[in-house]
Amino acid sequence: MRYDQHPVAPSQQNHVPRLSVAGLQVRYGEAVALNGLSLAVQDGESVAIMGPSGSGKTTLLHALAGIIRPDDGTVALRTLDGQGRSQIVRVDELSDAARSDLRLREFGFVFQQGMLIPELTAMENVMMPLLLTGVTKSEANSRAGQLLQELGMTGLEQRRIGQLSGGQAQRVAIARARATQAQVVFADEPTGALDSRTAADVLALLLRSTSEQGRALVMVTHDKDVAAACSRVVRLRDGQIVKQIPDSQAD
Amino acid sequence: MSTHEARTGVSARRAGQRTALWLLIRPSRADASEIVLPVIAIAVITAVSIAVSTLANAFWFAPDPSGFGQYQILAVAMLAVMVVPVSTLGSSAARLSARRREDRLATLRLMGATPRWVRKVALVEAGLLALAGVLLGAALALPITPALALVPVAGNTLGIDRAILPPALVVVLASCVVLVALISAVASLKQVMISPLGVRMRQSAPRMHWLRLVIAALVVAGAVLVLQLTSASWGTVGITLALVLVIVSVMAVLNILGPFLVGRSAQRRLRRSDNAASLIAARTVLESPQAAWRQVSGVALASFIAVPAGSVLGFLDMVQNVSDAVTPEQIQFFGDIRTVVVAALAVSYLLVACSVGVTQAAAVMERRALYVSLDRLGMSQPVMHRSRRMAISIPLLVAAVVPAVIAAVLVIPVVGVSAVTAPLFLLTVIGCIVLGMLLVQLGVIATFPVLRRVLAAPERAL
Repeated sequence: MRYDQHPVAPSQQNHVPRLSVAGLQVRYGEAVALNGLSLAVQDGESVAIMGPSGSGKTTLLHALAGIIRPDDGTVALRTLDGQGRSQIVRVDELSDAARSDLRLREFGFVFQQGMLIPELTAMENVMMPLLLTGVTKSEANSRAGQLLQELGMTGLEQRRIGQLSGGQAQRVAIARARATQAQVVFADEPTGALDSRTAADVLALLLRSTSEQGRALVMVTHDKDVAAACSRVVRLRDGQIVKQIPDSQAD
Repeated sequence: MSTHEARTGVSARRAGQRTALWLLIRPSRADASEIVLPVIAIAVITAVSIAVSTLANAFWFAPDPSGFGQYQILAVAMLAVMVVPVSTLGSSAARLSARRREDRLATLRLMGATPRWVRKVALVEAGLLALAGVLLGAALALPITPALALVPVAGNTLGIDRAILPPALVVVLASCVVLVALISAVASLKQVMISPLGVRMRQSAPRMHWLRLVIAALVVAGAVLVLQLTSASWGTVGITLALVLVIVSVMAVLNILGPFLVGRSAQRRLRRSDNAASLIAARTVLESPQAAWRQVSGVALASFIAVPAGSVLGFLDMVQNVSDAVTPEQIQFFGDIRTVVVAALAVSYLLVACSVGVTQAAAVMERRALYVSLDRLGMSQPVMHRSRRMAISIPLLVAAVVPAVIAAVLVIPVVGVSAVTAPLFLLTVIGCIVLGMLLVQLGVIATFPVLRRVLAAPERAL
């Protein structure tokens, strides 16, 4: 799929954020979910988004990931074109089909319930994004097996999602997010349904699979301990950023 | 508390319950498709039942030169073939309206409503939807009347007089449809456990013991034997009973064999799948081969009957052209059998297409979370649509082809002779089956907007 692209000069590549939003406005009828919000996420960063219910956390995540299109403002992603040159893609200007394709190739998702496909086995769930990008079955099988093995899921590959524990299912979701080498991974309360020990394991794996490998992680969480493990915490209220820790990284 | 106060309390509670009942069953724009689809399904059932009954009624009272009630047997056979697709569509419609109810019924149980009251809500809603569907169906049947009037029955076209069913019969039919909808609603409630903590489907893993295969083979052999032994000396009642027995037993066998073969076919597809769409399609079918089979089982009986009937008609057509042994009355009767076979095929596939449409709409809504999840993952809508069409084609192919092959094997001499002497008849039957399968695929395509709507409002699934 071809996107409208804006080339990035090689000298500027290190300064251009991986993902950024500016003046973001999202409304649901009369209610304003995001009110002129701006944020930039760099490679290797892990950003925790916190805030009370209704503050716009999930809406921000959905807008960043191209799941919804904002009413106003821009969402820009730095990615590579077919020749390996940096380009900026305006996510907010893409059609539904183009945003689907972008999610498939550039983004990974780890949500509270994993958003895994219950009918499929753990192996097939990880294979799914690879098959969708046109990778052959045998290649997808081998890469998915490798990823599951790295995440300690050896012997559980043929189990359905319902036959796995919450922590195991999240490991499958992390493996799936890694399968396409996604440069940005979105997580929505990834440890919300887990006990504290499993939550710590899953969080460590998630950070190891993303920011520690130079990928960006954007995570919505209510858990202060989870947020503390991230390199930046962004607090929202009424659709606006009210605080960032550390402040120096404010956009 | 005085008696007066107690009575006031009871009547106030009843008034409150009536208000609550209305709040629960009133239609809203949010769940329009959950209401519209069952109503359309019931309307189609009503219109088709009226049309088929009109033809059956005309055959029943047709002048019968043979003297042993051949037209009455034809009328009964026609009604019998319709029973399966009509009941399949009926249960699909009930299942969809049950889906609309499940969440709110669970909430009601949490709030303290009794199971009896919950049943009452379900029945009132199903009854109202059925009534709306029946009225719409009766209205739909009116424009069909002129077309029915042109159908030849016993040598003459039906004519507008005989193409209109007596009003008393229409009322009986309509009442039967409403009754079937109510029974289906009760049955669908039995399939779900509505507890205060939510709704769980009662599902048991599909199992197929080899003994069932043996029993199925024995039943088919018995059915063939009965057909071989049937003769004019059995009289109208005897022949009719034998025919009904054979149809019922073959249907029972197909319902045992069907899910098993669908499961096997899906497993094979799974092994061979090399893309996301076919992988999900195969897994969806394997999730419940019975449910996949149920959607298309109405096609199975039509296919089972179509091949031998088409072959016999082809053979007889050839005989009447080269021999003087066939009387004009017999030629006329063969023509009438052809009418019944074509009508049975057309109506079966039409009903199954509607049934598939309704079931698929219900499935999309039931599995909102899955489709939203696939959308997040980046699966495009065309791939999702392709996967859903594949998921139908697996059981559809089994339901259309396997019974036709079994029937062809059972009456191999007739099929063989017909294939040589009158291949056009056999090709017509095969063409009808292929067209029918395309019609069923159209039923899936009709539900594409439902999926688009679900993906346009993904927050409902989360």
